[in-house]
Amino acid sequence: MLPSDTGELSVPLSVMGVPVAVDCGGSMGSQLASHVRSVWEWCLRSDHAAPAATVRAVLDPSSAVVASASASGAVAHSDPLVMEDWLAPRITISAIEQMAGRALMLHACVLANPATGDAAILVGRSGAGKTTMARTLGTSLAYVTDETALVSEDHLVTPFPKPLSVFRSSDGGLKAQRPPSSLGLVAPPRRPIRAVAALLVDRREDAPASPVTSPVPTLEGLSQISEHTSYLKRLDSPLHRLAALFEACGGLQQVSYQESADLLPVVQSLVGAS
Amino acid sequence: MRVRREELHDVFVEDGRCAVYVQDEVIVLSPVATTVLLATGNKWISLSELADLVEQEYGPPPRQTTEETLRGLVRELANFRILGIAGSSM
Repeated sequence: MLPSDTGELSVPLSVMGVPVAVDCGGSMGSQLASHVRSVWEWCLRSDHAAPAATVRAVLDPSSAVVASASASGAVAHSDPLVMEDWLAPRITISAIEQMAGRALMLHACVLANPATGDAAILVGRSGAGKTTMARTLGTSLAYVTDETALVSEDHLVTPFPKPLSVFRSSDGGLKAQRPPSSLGLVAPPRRPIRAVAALLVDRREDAPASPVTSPVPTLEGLSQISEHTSYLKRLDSPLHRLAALFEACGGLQQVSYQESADLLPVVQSLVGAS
Repeated sequence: MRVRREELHDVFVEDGRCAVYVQDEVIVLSPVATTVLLATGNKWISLSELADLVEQEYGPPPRQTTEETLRGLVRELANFRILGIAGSSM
């Protein structure tokens, strides 16, 4: 059944190259679809490929409608702010599940030289400041993703310029989704994006005033980076895949820093955008 | 005691050491542990055979016998489910 047959509006997205349909329903489905189109502006898909994954989202003031939709597996709520917080990760996860075992997926912010596509992968745990890095450095360098770097065997990174999730100042627990253009970010280049640098980010208040980079031995790097991946063990020879990426990037480096803005000259130098 | 390798997702060797992906963890092994791991496979190997291989590469340990030293190492690797062990003298 087509979304229109059920009163749903479908928003076609390309999420890490995966065609994903976000089917928006409920009495506020139209409002929700407009919002999704707006904030996922750089992931909208214009082709007619059948979706590999579908995320159903229902926004409706009726608790009965919400309960019924939730029971059927939809993301459902009556509050648009909660929906905004809940929906973005579900969209991302739907694509990650599709790519499990097919590509290397690192929890990372990726920034690229807009002219050449040479990219730095900045790997960090959740809360390490990947979104802040993207927001700060993505106005000078191309914003590729602040969430997941999907890396092919030949070290190409699939753009995933999702909306940036930021905590609302008025409602501490919920995140708002900001369209990248509203933050003045530079869109990913249309040419292939190639990983040329891999960094493990280490933001600390007691870090030196200027960022310090140091090489990480391959074996220790494998151990540390593996903690920041999705579905790594579903790949064939996963450690060899990671090690090959490190080698293509001239080795894994760790960068210790205090403020994201301080990283700009470091990353610019690595991607040849000085 | 007999030893064999458990099911591992991947082993990456570099400069005499290795990283092992087992369960949900990547563990970096010492050179001796790497030698032990690389000497094992799906078939059981006795601790004395392992001790001979390790002693050929590293010589005898300063204290204890190589076999006694390896017994603790093998147990540790078994705790991480990198090796399986069997035999009466466990």
